[in-house]
Amino acid sequence: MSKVENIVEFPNLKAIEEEAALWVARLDGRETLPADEMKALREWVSVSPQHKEALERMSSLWGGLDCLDDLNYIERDPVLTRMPSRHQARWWIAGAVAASFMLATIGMFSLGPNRQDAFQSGRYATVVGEQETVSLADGSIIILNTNSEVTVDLSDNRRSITLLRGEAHFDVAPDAGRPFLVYANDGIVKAVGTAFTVQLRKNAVEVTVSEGVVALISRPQAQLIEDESLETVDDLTPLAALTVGQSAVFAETVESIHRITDDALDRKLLWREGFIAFAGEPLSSVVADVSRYTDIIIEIDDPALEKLPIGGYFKVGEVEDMFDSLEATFGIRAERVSANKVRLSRAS
Amino acid sequence: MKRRTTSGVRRMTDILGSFLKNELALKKYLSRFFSKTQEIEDVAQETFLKAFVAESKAKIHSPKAYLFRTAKHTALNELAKKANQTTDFIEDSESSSVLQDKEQVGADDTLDSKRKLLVFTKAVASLPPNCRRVFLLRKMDGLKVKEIARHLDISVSGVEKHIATGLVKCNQYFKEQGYDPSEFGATVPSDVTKTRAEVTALLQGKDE
Repeated sequence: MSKVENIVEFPNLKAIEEEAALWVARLDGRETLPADEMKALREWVSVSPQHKEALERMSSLWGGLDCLDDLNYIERDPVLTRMPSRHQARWWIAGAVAASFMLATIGMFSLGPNRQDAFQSGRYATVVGEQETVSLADGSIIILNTNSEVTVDLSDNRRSITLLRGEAHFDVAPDAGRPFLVYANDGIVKAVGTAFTVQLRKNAVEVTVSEGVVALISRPQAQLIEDESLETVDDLTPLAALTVGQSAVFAETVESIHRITDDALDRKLLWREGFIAFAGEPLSSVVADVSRYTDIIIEIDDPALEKLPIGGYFKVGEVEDMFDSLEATFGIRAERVSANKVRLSRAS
Repeated sequence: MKRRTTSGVRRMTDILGSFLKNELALKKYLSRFFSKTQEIEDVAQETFLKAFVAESKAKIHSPKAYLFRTAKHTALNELAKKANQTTDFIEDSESSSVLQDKEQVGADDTLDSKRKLLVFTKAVASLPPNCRRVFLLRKMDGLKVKEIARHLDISVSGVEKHIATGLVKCNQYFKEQGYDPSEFGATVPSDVTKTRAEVTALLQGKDE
């Protein structure tokens, strides 16, 4: 034991750098450092010149990173960006606000150092095969799936999103004073702080909850908000409440509610990571799902083939990979009959 | 030869990876638009920055195709701008010659800050995803540590750990690339952050 104590340690530069970085992070994270920590920092600095140098270098590096703010002013080419980015959208609002309320109110909407505005509106869309993540000013995040479109309207008493097309996942930042309402077809999905996915179906809406609770609200009820005959949206009478792991289809009434397993939930939401997953679904429904992500028309030639169970997952937008693995693993022949049409048949 | 750890390769963003892989081809492509090496270099780096910003907002499915498309648009914009500048220059020199000098100074500043931005952006693009996310939220979106913690649903000390890890890795990146952090660090007064000021005060206090 005494042997170990007798070893004279060389200053471990890597450890010193790591500690210096942590001090810089702590200085940045806390409003003020408590006196005892400040004392500890002073002592730490005085251990050796290497300590002092490392702290200086790390804080200089951290300060230098402020230049990343300039990235906000790097323009994305308009041709490449179909929809306004967050920042453009915000400036647009600032302009609209200024125009409608005149100069006197501009101060209220100051963009401030944090650039976190309470108000925001805009429209976001993806084309077939594309996905996009939109961070809203309130901290909520919308992930748009393929061929989807939403409009966003954040006001002082509610956050209204309209799903015009496709499917979107909502990760809602808690804000009890401003309920989060997703308008979809004829219904509304209401949340305060939770995460859920809404997909438009023909004349109905499918909702899957991955976190928290949401309320489903029918059209006649929704109309009450439009008519402003309700004091607050809390007075709405919901059709049903959904909790974590529940999935429902609803329109005027609730058509179905069922609980899905954690695995199934993960699979159902895997599109957010850019993948679509299947666990034994028939080929016909796999094709229907995959078709949402591509302009290629996929035909199944053989009625018996339609029922073939398929498992596995595919990267969104890489439909050719899927054809390859159907051919390699499932004994299917994928024949390209024209530039945008593929016919699936049983390999003979 | 620059040393790059294997984990570094695995962790860098798709765009940075794709950019490094295709940098030569991209510059060869840009030589269709420009004759000067410096111009090609500038547009190539500008392309990387644009693509990185785009990637930080949304997933890019084909980074290579995106880089080439962006390069083309940037090149065409640059050529259009150059045509305008020539006209401006002729107009300016007719009215005043002092104006050109002023613009020349401004251009140098812009060049320096562009280069600095590029070095820091590449350093951040080579960070592990969690660190990168925290760095961008803090420095690009201007959120405070507490707000980032809430946003990512992790603790404040969790955010601080990501910052510390990222700083060590950034420092490593600077060393590997042969950059001197002090050359790019917070030397300009306007860049001095609260942390920097505190550290300076602390170190000076120590010296007295």
